[in-house]
Amino acid sequence: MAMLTLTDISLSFGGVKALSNMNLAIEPGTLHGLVGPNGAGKTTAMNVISGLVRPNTGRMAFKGEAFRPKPHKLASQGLSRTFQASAIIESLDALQNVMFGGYSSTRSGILSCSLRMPGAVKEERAIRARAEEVLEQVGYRGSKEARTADLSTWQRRQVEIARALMPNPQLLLLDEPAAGLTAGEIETLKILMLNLRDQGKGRNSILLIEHNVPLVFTLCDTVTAMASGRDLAHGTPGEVRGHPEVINSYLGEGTRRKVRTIAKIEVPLTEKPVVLALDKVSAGYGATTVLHGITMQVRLGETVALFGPNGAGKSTLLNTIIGQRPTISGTVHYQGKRIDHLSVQKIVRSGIGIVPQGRAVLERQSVEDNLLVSSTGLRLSKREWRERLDEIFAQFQSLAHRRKSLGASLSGGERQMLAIAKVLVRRPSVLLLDEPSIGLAPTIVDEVQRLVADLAAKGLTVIIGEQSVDWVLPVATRAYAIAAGQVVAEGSPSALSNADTLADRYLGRQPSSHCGQ
Amino acid sequence: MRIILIGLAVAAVASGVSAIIPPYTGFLTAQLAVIVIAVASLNLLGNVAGMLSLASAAFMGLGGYGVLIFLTIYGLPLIVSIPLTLIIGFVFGWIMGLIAVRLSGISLAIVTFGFVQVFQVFVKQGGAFSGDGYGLILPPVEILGIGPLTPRIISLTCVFTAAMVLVFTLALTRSRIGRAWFAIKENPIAAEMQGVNLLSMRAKAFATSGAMASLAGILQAFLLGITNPSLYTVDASISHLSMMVVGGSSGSVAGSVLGPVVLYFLPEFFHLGSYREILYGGALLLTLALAPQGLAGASKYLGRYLVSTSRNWMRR
Amino acid sequence: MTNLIGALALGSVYSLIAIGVVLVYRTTGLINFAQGELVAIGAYAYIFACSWSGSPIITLGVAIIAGAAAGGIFFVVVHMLLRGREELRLVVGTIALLTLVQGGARLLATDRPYRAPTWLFPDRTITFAGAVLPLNSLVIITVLGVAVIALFLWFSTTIAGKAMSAVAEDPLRSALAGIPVRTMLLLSWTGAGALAAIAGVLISPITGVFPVMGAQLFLAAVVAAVIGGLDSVFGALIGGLIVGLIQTYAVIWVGGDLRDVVVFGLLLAFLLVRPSGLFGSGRLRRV
Repeated sequence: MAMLTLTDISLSFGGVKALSNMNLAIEPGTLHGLVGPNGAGKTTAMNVISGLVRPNTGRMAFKGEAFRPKPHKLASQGLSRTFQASAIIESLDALQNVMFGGYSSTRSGILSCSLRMPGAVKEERAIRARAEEVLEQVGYRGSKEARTADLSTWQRRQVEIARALMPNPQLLLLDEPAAGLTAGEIETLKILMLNLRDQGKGRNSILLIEHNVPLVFTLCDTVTAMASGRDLAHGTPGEVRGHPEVINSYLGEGTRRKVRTIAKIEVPLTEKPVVLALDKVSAGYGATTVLHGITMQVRLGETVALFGPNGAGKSTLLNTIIGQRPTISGTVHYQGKRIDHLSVQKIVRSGIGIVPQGRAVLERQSVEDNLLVSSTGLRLSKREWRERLDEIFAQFQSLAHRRKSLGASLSGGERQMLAIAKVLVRRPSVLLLDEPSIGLAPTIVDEVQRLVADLAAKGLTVIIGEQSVDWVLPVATRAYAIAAGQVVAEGSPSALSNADTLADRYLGRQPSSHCGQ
Repeated sequence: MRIILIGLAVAAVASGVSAIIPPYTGFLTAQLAVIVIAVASLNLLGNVAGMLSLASAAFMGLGGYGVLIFLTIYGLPLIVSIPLTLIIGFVFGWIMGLIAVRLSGISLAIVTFGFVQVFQVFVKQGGAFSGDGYGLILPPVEILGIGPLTPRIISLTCVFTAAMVLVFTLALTRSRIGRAWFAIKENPIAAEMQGVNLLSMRAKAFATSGAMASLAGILQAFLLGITNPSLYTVDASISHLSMMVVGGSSGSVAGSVLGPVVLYFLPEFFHLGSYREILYGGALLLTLALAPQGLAGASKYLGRYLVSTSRNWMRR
Repeated sequence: MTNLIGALALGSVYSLIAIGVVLVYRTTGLINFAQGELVAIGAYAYIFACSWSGSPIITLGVAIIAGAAAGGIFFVVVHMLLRGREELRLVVGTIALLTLVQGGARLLATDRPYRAPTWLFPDRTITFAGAVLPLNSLVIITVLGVAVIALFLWFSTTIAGKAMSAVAEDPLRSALAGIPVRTMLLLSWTGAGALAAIAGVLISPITGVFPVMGAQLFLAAVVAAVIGGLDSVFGALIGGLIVGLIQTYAVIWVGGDLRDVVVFGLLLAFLLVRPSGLFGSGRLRRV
């Protein structure tokens, strides 16, 4: 009998369908992986299982009985989870963090705790002993009184997993446990998870969400792949890895489209000067490092594509170039000058523009005003501004008809066009595009593609970060493939466009047979 | 239990010392003790449970006016008046805590600010209960036949109580309740996942803090012999806040003592009283900008730094 | 009728301060606890100017400059010194400023209220529709009207105004668009200071000028802003008038100085029941 089943679970928030008739089954004594590109619904599914959100429809069963998870009763219901964003408590030291995991099994109130009554002291001793035991179990070698700020990412992860183990859960939910870990640490994590599974003697299971797909395929007993809120495939890693829909969900669907007019340059433009150079750049958010030593160059006039599944670091990379993310190490040079650690404003004013992910449009301003505020600091006379506006509207016909409309009233496609127009109004020399095709209808994607080709033909240097390969390949002159924060391949787009090669890069080699030894 | 015994010992020593120093310093020390209790209450609420409150002065007012109303208007004995007043402080704190769950940090700050203003209205216009706006006077009281209480005894009690309060606060912070509060402060969702009932724990934190501040108010009423609206203003609350931030650090004892010593005792001792507010504001700003962990945190950091450098030095 | 005009005048003062609170909140996400002190600074500058000039333009001008400058200095202190710390720390920073200014005022001035002359017209009344109306109250209401119209024009016609709206709506992406975000923030604080100073000039004849005048006004203004919806300038306008009206009529009907209690009640009611206020968008930074 399955330990946990989800049947036909659907959930929408605010018009977005996060989960759509999703099904999941986890057998006892297994390590089960949940994979899927960004927006597939993996975290939402985990939030449903841990009771943070209630589904609109569907049923859940745990150990054969109807299951209605409640967040603060989770431990007594037999589950425990970790969080993707670190949930470690900085005010407590390592051991105390783990001891907190035993909270639900203790009872002492304010009076008995503050007066150190015998009952409270006994409870405290028991919790402490168990916490030390669990820390041992996860292989933690650091000091028990270490402040969390002094711990490495892996040690912090160990503490969080130890905390989740305190109530002895039958189902352990791990949310991106490998995030920010080095290859060596990931191997140790694998061993830990296998040990945890084996120590459960076939009764306990672990559900794992991960962006690091190769990890999941080499580790887990069973895998479920998701996309767009529903489950695509379920089975052994071999079965899922080879499933065509799963591969497509990572590479982007549809057939390759040919662009009509473009002087397509396959040979890298080695004679042109290097405009943008990254040297061993590492960057991240807070305690998590997302980019690990990225080295790349972009020459004048190139259109460089950055491919990679989400979570790979493409957005982080583009945001680091534009200065919104500080670098942890490494340098970024633009036209020969160092720009890492400069403010966003300075970098934008020096000629780099970014069309960020999501529609970066001001809802309460008109189209014209959106463009106007993007021109601050350009010091244009009234006449020059009018000319530039006319230029932009000539290029973006659809926006010309809507110049007085408010941002809020624009459609998705129009917003994307406006977002690009806002950047072009400053006449940047380098244009960064962060996932421009997400959520757009194919006709709009065509328009974007045409626009990029046009700009490239005019000599603009473009860098495009995209998950969906097909529309970018015809316009790109060179491509990098990025996975788990590192450059895994570089070359001409056609070389990288082989679906199998890319799939191997993102999803890892096809596993031969049973894994997890 | 060990902590309790150590605490008792410290309290005894502190009280002993305060008994033999000259009267004015003794008075200042007792005042200091009262303020330490108030700051400790803010520390518990703010640094441990993560809620910023500007209502400490109002709770002190509840304590001061409460005990005097019970003693004078209702004629209740001390043994009854004090616990009753503490209960009132606890209850008001509980109510505040329930409100706090629904509010963000800034909104809570505003509401507690408003609470102090409202309290001012009541003690200025409360009729007989507030001494017609002039405050109430402490009548001669005796405990178990011993009395009237001399200033010395009151000062001693203040210091002793402050020491014990600090001990109990420390014990509380190091317990499961303290861990739950820290968790609520940093990550309420994760805390809930571990089984913490957010509503009840937040309410408990505020209630405990309120009771502590009321205790401070009770002691102050005894020490000064009177209550008066001017004692419980927003400025008083802000002074406690400044001392909490400047003293610093999460729930540790040192912070609750350092802040008041630096910002209250020293200026009063050197007769710089009229520069008080500028001192509070300036010290607060400096601390926020340069040493957000406060003096206690900075000295811990300094201590660690010294230890590690001396270790490195000894290795050579 | 007299009461109504008086209530509206009081409300107008609250509105001016509340608009400043909203301006700062919209762009920097903070409630500036020292907003009341900006009013006091304006008031003190006003009486200082009155002592050597009788011209309403000069006296108001001096006050506005003082308020704007103070607002700018507050911004510099809070953002430069405390850059990058969480919101709550910044708010405590504004509390520190509150204390500093109040302490300074206490040292330099007496605690007793100083009677200030009314701005523009001497203390006179006019009779209208059978009621006796203080001219000063009408002036105050008019000033509010002028200020609001000026602000509206500024936000909707100038680049700087539109840029500031952009920063209020989306600070992260505004930086990407090349908008000098920090300059915009500074502008919003100086603007808030100027508005507070005007409020100080207008209220000083009514309440007098004394060091702690800021606290009560601050509470009323914040409540007005909350009622209006913390990110709506129009809401702040209406909120201020509502607070003025309710306070005045509550005192008349119930008696006693219950102004603060009324204000507090309104605050709790809105924060708990309708945090986005009457006109707020409800999506900006949690309540």
